[in-house]
Amino acid sequence: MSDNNLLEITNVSKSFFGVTVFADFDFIIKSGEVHCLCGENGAGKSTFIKILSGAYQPDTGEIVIDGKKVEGKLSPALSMELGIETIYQEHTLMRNMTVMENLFVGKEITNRLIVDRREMNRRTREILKSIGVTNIDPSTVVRNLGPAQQKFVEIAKAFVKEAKIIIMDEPTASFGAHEIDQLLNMVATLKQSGIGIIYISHHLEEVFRIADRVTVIRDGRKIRTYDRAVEKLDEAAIIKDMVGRDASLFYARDEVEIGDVIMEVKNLSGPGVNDVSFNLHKGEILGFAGLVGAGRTELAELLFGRRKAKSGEVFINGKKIKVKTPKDAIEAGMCMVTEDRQLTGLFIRQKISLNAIIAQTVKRGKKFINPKFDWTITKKYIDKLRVKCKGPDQKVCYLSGGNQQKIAFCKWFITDGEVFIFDEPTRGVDIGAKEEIYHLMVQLCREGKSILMISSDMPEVIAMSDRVMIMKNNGIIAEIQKQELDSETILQYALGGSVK
Amino acid sequence: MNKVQNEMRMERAPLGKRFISSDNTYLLFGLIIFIVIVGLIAPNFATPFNFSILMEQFAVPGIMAIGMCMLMISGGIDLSVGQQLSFVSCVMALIVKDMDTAIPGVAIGVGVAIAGSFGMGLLISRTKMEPFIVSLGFMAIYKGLANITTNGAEYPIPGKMGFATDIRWATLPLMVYIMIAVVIVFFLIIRFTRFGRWLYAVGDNPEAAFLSGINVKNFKLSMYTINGALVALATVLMLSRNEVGNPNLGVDLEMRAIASAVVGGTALAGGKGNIIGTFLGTIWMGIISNALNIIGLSSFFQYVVTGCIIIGAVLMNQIRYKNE
Repeated sequence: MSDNNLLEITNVSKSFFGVTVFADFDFIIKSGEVHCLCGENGAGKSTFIKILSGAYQPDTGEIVIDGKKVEGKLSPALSMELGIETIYQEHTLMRNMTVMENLFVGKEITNRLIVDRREMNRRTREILKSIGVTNIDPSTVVRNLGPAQQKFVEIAKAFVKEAKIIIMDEPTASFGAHEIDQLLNMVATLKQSGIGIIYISHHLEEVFRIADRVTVIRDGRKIRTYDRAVEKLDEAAIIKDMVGRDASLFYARDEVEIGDVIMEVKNLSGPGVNDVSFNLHKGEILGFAGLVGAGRTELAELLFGRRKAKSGEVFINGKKIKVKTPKDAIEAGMCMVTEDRQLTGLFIRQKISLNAIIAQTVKRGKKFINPKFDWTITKKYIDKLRVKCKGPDQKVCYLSGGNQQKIAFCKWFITDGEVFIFDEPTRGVDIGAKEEIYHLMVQLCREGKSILMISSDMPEVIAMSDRVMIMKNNGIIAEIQKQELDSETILQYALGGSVK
Repeated sequence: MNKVQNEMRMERAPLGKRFISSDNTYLLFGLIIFIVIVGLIAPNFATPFNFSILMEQFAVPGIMAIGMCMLMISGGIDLSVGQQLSFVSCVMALIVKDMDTAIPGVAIGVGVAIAGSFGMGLLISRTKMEPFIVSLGFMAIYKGLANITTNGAEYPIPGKMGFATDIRWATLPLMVYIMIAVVIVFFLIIRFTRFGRWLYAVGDNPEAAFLSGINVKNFKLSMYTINGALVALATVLMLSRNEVGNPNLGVDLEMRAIASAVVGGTALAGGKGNIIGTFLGTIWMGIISNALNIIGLSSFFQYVVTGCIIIGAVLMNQIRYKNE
């Protein structure tokens, strides 16, 4: 093996209670290389991260870092000392501290006795600039940054710690197209400085743009490593390796007949939304595309009563509705699957059945419930949605991301609403579950329901929408019909276009 | 992927199996083992007489623990209940002592208790202040008010409110039956009403609860108000037993209520806990001090043991639910 291998893993296995979750895994990363790891949810990517970051100890196998074999236990502290930094999916910065305090936590630059804030400010600016970020002020409190900016700061932090290997786990979840570009450029910069990057993402477009090598993992086993230097990266082959069958990035949905207008929004304004009007038809999927921060989630929250509208009118079935709280919206027949199922969607430590029936208890208005009723109705829906679980009494926190998302859907299916708002319906969900969710959405349309879908996933917007509204700067700037729908057009409007 | 899961053959576990897998089973069997062991060591422990005294002692802390448990499941807490009981007992005794009937005094006392808790509920549900801090403030306020009401003294009311101890069936006083009724009623509320479902939802994730259509503010307000009513009931029973209104009557009761709930598996973080567990927790707390008394350990030592039991119970829960 050549001597610029930063990390060499051979034959690593890990099992829990006799179940092998990770078997005979080999992995190499060289200095200045981007090695992408692809696989569905539950394929073993998180186990891989946890082994490298020292959270799990492998049962067998060898880990060689920087030419030195790791003897004994690779603890989290040792992992960091050896230069491995992980950028997790969740934000891990200290929210109430400033950007520079976060960057230099434990490594504060001191001027004999006191912290030299001016020097830290200067260095922070320098580091952020070196990775291509110029719009973050070092003295901003992290809590006030957007999700993408926080991610950038985390990467800068790994840089400050002089990481040799940076693991990025789904870094672009909830990013807009522009921010994705920025992040991928950042990866290229880091790569040039000799850092090895392990990049994990569901988004194959990103993988193809930056990968030097791609390893596909399925059921805890390495299926194949593709090397760009040797061969052309073949999208279809990689997807096939990931799911174990032929599949396409683009879901081919059935057409559903579109009926009359069911919801009419007129000149709606409120926090983050400025003068928005549109119609939604029966059986239609209306996509909302745009950058993160364009006002799409804000619009959904306004419609659903999470925030209060300043002006404007909303009609459902020709009847004007007044939405002050989510309760009003639910009673008017609306449902909303929120952007972040863990934060605002689910009761993660409760039983599936509680999660499933909760909105229905509000709508139905009956004060008494038989626990057996909870169980039976939940059972019916987890069968219908094909949720993989032990039963309605299982707690939601034990389910995988895709199945948790299905429970978030389940909650609203039981209420039997008319208008479904889906905010990033397949975020952090693997390809298999994604298709099932698409299938459910089409089924809803067939039942005469209507869907308002906010999504940053371009193939999803194109494949699923009957019409697309493009939002920018808190307003709708364009409406695109299905025939004219392609990613270039959407991006053009979302990024720069101002012509209606 | 697990094959059994794919087949989707699920049936609701039978009652017996659900009972065995519940956390309360451990508490119950632990309790039985404890009683057997102490009974063997100290012959005057496991006697009908001692048990009837024990049951009488459980009544007040038991009712307060039920209220605390509900508050804690919904993500709240109330540190003021002990001092609130002291204050309300002073108010009731002040009015009752000079009258032939206890009814006006009790009515006013109940009103004061509920009004106080309603006010606290308003503050907690309408602002972003932490329940811990707000109730800590109320604790001090009640303590002050109790002493202002009595001028630091106490109001004996012999024979005026003794109904809850005087009326007896099968050697047990009325207050024991009242406590059991409260436990059953709240158990049924949690199990068979949407209020019970909302309790866990609000405690687990208030924002998701709001987005599911629950009026979280009013829900929290009603929780505190209900707790006020339970404190009022506990005060009446306490006065019936002690026959004196006194600013120190409720000392340590809030700690006992919290400890009972925690031993019963209620989490401070909210979203977890249950009535039966809390009831068993109350019995545990009461029976331990009683047993230590009978064995002959000083009351100072009892504090140490009680503290260890609380920490041990929480530790066990931590180990069992490591993955959550």
